[in-house]
This record gives sequence, C-alpha cells and structure tokens, in this order.
Amino acid sequence: MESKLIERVLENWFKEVSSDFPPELRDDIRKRIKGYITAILSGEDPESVVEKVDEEFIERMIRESGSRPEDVIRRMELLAKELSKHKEFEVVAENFAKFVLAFLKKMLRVYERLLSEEAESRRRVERVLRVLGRTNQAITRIGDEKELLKEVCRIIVEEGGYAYVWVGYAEEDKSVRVVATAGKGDYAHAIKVTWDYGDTGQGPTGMAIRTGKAYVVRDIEKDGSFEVWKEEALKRGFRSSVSLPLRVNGKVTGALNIYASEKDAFDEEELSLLEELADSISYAIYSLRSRKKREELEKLYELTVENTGTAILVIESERIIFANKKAEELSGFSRNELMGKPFTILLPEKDRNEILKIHKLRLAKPELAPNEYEIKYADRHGRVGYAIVTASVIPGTKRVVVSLIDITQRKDLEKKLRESEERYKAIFEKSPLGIVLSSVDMTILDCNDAVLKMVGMRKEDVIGRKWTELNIFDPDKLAELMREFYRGLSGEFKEMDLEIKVDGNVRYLRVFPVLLKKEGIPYAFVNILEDVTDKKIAETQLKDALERIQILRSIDLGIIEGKNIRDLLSDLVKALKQKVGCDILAIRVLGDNGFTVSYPEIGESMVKSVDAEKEVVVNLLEKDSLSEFEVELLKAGMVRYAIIPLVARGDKLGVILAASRESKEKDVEFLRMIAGQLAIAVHEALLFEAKRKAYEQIEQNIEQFAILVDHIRNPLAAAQGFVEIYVDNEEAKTKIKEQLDRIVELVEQLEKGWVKSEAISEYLRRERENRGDGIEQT
Amino acid sequence: MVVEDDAAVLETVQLMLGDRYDIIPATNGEEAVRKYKMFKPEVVLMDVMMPVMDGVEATKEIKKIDPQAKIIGLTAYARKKGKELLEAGALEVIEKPFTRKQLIEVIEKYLK
Repeated sequence: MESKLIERVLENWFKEVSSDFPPELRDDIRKRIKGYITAILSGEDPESVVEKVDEEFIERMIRESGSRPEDVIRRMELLAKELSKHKEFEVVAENFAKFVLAFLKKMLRVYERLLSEEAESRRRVERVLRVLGRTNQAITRIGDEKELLKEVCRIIVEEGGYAYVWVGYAEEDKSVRVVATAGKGDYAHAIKVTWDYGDTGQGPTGMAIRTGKAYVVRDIEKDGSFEVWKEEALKRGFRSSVSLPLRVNGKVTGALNIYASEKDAFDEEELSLLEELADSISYAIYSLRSRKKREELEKLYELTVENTGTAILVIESERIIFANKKAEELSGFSRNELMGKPFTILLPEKDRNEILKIHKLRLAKPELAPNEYEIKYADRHGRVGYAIVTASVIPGTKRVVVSLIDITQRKDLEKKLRESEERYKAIFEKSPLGIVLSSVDMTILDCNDAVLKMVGMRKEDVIGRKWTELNIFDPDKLAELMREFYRGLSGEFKEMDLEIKVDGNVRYLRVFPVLLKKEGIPYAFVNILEDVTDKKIAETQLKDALERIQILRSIDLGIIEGKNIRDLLSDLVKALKQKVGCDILAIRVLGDNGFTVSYPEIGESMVKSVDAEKEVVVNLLEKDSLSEFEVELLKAGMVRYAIIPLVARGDKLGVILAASRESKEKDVEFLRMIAGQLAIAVHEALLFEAKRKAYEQIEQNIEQFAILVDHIRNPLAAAQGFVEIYVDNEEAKTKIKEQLDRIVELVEQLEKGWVKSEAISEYLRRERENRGDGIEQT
Repeated sequence: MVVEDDAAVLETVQLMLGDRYDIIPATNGEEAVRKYKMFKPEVVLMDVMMPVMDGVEATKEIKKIDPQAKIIGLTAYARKKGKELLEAGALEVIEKPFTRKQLIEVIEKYLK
C-alpha cells in the first residue's frame, strides 16, 4: 500500500477516534499507528512490531486518555473497517489481525499492571486515611503529649501496617531525643541521630528537621544518606523510610520517622497524607502545650491572687463580684456572703458616702480619682481596721479591681514604736552614761549630753564629725585605736579604755561598743561611755603602790636570802627601768666599797661622777653648758635625766639615775616615792652584808682555834709519852707531869671557850636561817 | 696498826706499846687503808686530822673492806671529830694526851 493511501485511511480513521485522546497525545498516536501499519503492510512480523511498542506509551495512553481494552478493540475495528475499504489491505489482513491481537495482549498486560498498582496505591492511601482518622480521635481523647505520641506511634504501626515508627525531638545541643516509638526492635534507641551537619545529622531525620521538609528514602540499602544507620535498619527488615517534620508554632521541633518493609513504599499521595498526619500531630502538640501553658498561667494567676497577701475585690455596679481568700480573712465574711453585696458593707458607716463618691468618680473620670489611699475598714463584727487601698478600672469594662493591704498591725506597731521611742529617748537624754550612735565609718550620728560633758564640746561640734576628727585622742595612739575599731567591725570589739585630752587634762573613758547589724551587715555602733578618770587615777596609784611594795619586798627578800647586794640591785634596776619607762636606769652605791649597777650596762667612767645632794631633773637640750657626765649622756642619745639621792638615817648611801631619749616627763615620781624606802633597804642590806662577813670571820676563827688546840694536844701527848718512857726519876716525872697537866687544863679551858663560841655561832646561823624561812613563808 | 701524822706522837705510841705488840705504823689515811689490806691488823689506833686522807674517811674505807675491823680513835678534837669518827665505825675514842695504861686497857678490851 502506498504511503498516501495509508495516510488517507488513517485520516478517516482518526476523524472517528481522535476525540478519545487528549490533544497533546494525538499526533504521537497517529504517527505511531502509521508506523505500525506501514511495517505490517511491508510484511514485517506483526508480533515483532508489537514487541517494539514501548510499554510507557501504552501506559500513557491508558492513563491520559483513560483507554480501556474494549476501547482499543473498538478503535482497531474501526481501523480494520477503514482498511478493508481498500483492496490492498486484503494481503495483509491476516497480519493486521495478528498485530491487533498481539497489541491487545500487550495492552492488557500493562492495563492489569496499572490496575494492580492503583489498587496498591489505594490500599496505602486507605491505610494512611485510617491512621489519620484514628490519630485525630486520639488527639481529641489524650491530653498528655507523651501519651499522645505513644498512641500515634502505635496507631501508625498497628493500623497503618508500617514496620516501625519513632518520634524524635530536636534538642538545643543538636541531638535528637527519642520521645515515642512503636514496632519491633528497639531501633530508635539503638542508633544515634542528630540534626547538625555531622554524619549523624545528614540522614532523613536530620534533613527533615533542618529543612522542614519531608525526606523519603526509597531504598535504604542503596541510599547514601542512610549509610550510617543502614546495618541496623536492614537487620530489622526496614527497606524504605520517610521522615516528616513536626512544627510547633512555626518552628520545627522534631520529626516523625516511619519505616516500611518494602522498598519505595511511599508514593506521592501517601506522602501527602502522611504530611497531613504530621501536621495534625504538630498541631496537637502545639494545642497540648498551649493548653498546659494556659492552665499553668491560670493556676499561677489564681495562686497569685490567692497568695498575694492582699485582699482583692472586683466591684461592678457597686457590688462585689469577686473576692479572694484574703478578702474573706480581712472582712470575716465568706466569699459566698460577699458575692453580690454592696462593697460599702466593708466600710464604717460614716465613711461610706465619701468612698462611694471616689468610686463613682473613678468610673466617670478615672484620672481624677486617687489610685492609692488609706481607709478604715469594718469587718462583719464591726471591728475597725486600717488598709491601704489601690483601685483601678479594668480597661474596657465598668469593673473596678480593688486591693486592700491590711495595715492595722503596722499602725499599732507604729504607735507602740512611737511610745517606745519616747521612752528610750528619755533614757538616752537623761542617762549619766554617755551614749553615742556612730556609723561604721566612725561618723557620729547622735550623742547625749553626758557625752558632750565628757568631751567638753557642744552638740553641733560633734554631730556629723568623725571620732578621729575631734582632736581628743593622742595622735600616737590613733593607729591602735583604728585597729581596734576595724577589729570591732568583724565582731571582735570588746570593752576598752580610751585616753582623751580635754582642755589639756587627761581623761579616761571606758567604752562599751555594741555593733548594730542589719541582715548580718554592720551599719552602726552604739557606744556606751563611762568617765573612769577618777577610777583610773585611783587604780594607777594603787598599782604604783603595789609595784612599790613588790619592788621593796624583792629587796627585803634578797637581803634575807643573803643575796649579794650587787646582784640584788642589778635585778632591781631592771624592774625599775621597766616601770619608769626610761632608757637607762642606774643605782650608784657610795662609800669605800661603792659600786654602780645599771641597765643597760653603761661604762663605770660615765657614772662615777653621778652624784647630787638633792634631786635634780635636767633637760640637756635646755642647758647652756654641760658637765662631763652630761656630755657622755648626750653622746648615748639621752636628752633628759633625773638624779635622786638615796638617804637613810641621815647618811647619803647612793643615788638613782634615770635617763631617757625623750624629753617628755617620765614617771620620776615613782622613783621619788621609792627612793626613801630603797635607801633604808640598801642601808640594811649593807649592814646585813657587814654582819654576814663578821659571822664568816667568827666561824673562821673558831675553826682556826680548834685546829690550834689539836696541834697543842699532839706535842702534849708526845711529851707525856716520852716522860713515861724516858724519865726514871719519879720526883722529876711527877713534877713534869704536874706541869703537863696544867697545860692540859689550860687547853681544856680554851676548849670550853671554843665550845661556847661554837654554840653562839650555831645560834646565829640558826637565827639567820629561821629569819629567812619565816619571811619566805609570809 | 697506829695511824698518826705527827711523828713525835707516832714514836711515843710505838715506844709505849712496842714491847707488847707488833706495831704497823702509817702516817696518813690512805697509807692506813693500803696497809690494812696487806696486814689485816687486829686493832687500829686512828688519828683524826691527817693530810691526804683524814681519819674519818680512812675509817669508812677500812670498814668497807672489813666490817669487823676494830678501830680506836685518837683525837685532840674529840668533841666534834670524835663524834664523826664514831659515826664512821670507830669503836671508841681516846682523847690526847693519853697514858700507856689507857692505851693498853683499850687494846686488850678489843683483842679478847
């Protein structure tokens, strides 16, 4: 058949069938049919022609034109009919019939496949729809977010038939936290998923969270993005997955992750429904969270209103429409009793009109009504109290919210405080003790008259000034005073005596400081001052007297113990130097055996000329000419000295020298007081020493005497022996013996004397010992 | 044994007693102690005041060697030193000057 003829046949045929196809398919179909017919007419095997027809084209034809097999048969019949009008067709009629049959077979195959795919798709859509329906039911039923997600997961697996599902929330640290799962195998907890740009953040979940779009993995085995979790997923039989973002309030907060056992399990329609499911879940989460927040807020409001410690009323049309618990307590009425009552029942009758006027003014011209004012209120028993009222109109309404702070107790306290203050003020002002209130920086805030009397100042000269600025303290002692003060701040402040100078006179104040603290932080001092000047002077005098006695006693004891007078005075100068506070103290004992003791030791040459008939006190800096001794003193750095003679029973026994580096007067008075007694003590000590020496001499004499007697007896014994042996003449023997006996008698008399001397010596020694013992025991 | 630093007194005692007893002389306490160890004399006549070692000390030493030693003191200083000698272990004390009779009586008393 000629091409033109075929063209004409097809022209006629297409007129009949073209309307079956959408315009964009028509040309293609016509061209293809022409090709097939030409091939058949040219003797090509019809089956091989059909073989070449691609299934995609058939699929398009079925899908886009809605062609069914019977439509194809009808069209082919029409084509056959058209072809049969031409004789040329007869030769290939059989081949054409074979082509139609083969084409139909192929088309049926495609058609059935499409039908099955459609059914599968519908099945899937149905299951998602079922999941959606059940999920929506769960959303309306379950009020807890976690419970809901758990139930949704269960529905997706059990109702939807998916293999596994989990919900993960995107955390701040970029990790994904598992919040619910369903399906076999604890997959979600076995893997690590993040939503950062690391390896574990590049999978479907991480992508869905980051991009906010659904992410489908059609083949887990082959998809590179699933590499990290592939092994775990395949082990559990998962073949494809989808991760759907969950949005709360416009922000992606997590992902719903669904896994299927088949590859490519999620087609577009299903995916779209799953996205809808994710949106429903997102909205449910949002609603639950909002509701929870709202409930919490409501609870908070309620708690605030009930626990604010303030009575709160809402008034509308002059009647109470709301009252909190505190309002019940304040009024003595229950909430139910208050509801609907005019608010004026809470006011004393005589105040009602005025408050009502303010209330009306507030509603009419809120800017003119006072917002806060003090009122008297009356409770159900008619008891009157005080309250601070704050009132304002609720915007857009005629309602007024009123809060009342009960200040009855405060008022009472204020009254009591006022009374107490008055009492304390009287104590403060009339107290014979000084009372000073000072801040922690030592500024004097207040003080009473007693203080002013002590420091000899007027109040205006004292208040607002610092203690240290009053010029009453010795500048040398200020540093120590400040140290004490700072010790006081750390809580170590103790009672202390302060030396002050008022009009050139030294006075002593005993201070009892009390540190005032607020919440553990010191903020002021209350100092109680007592003028202890008289007490202090008496104490000093007593102390001096005691020290004098002690020093004199030490001299006495030394004498009694038989201490060498030089040692005794050496100890004494040390004690005296310390007491007097001078830099050199020396005692010079005059006489043949005179000596000097000093502390610290000074050269003998320096003191040998120290002497004075009367007491002298010399300031070297004021002298025009200096003696040799004074030059020596000056060389040693001394500028002032005093010499006090030691006179006992009219005899001058020695002198005391006290020298100091400072020209300030030292305690020479003490030396003066002690000098007389010291002189007597020195006198006695010297006497005692002389006696001691005399005793020693006596003892020595006795010893010598005894030896002498012994020495006499030896030749006597020899002489007597020799007479007995050698003298034969009895008369001569008798006469010699008589003379020897006389000598023996004399010796014995001497011995008797010696015995007496020894007894006296023994008696004196015993007496000396007894005296010493006796004094030590006192 | 006669212990005496005064040569005249020692000679007198030797002359007084030499015909009756064998006498070992010693001129001080130390010599006396040494000779006592060597000769173990029956009686010791001991002077008190001697150089090197006095009679009191020598008596104590001899008594340490032989608690049974018989020591008789010879002293001019009887009241004080005689007492010390008795405390050191002497049996009695004879005052100087003495007679031959006195010495023999006391020696015989302790020789029995």
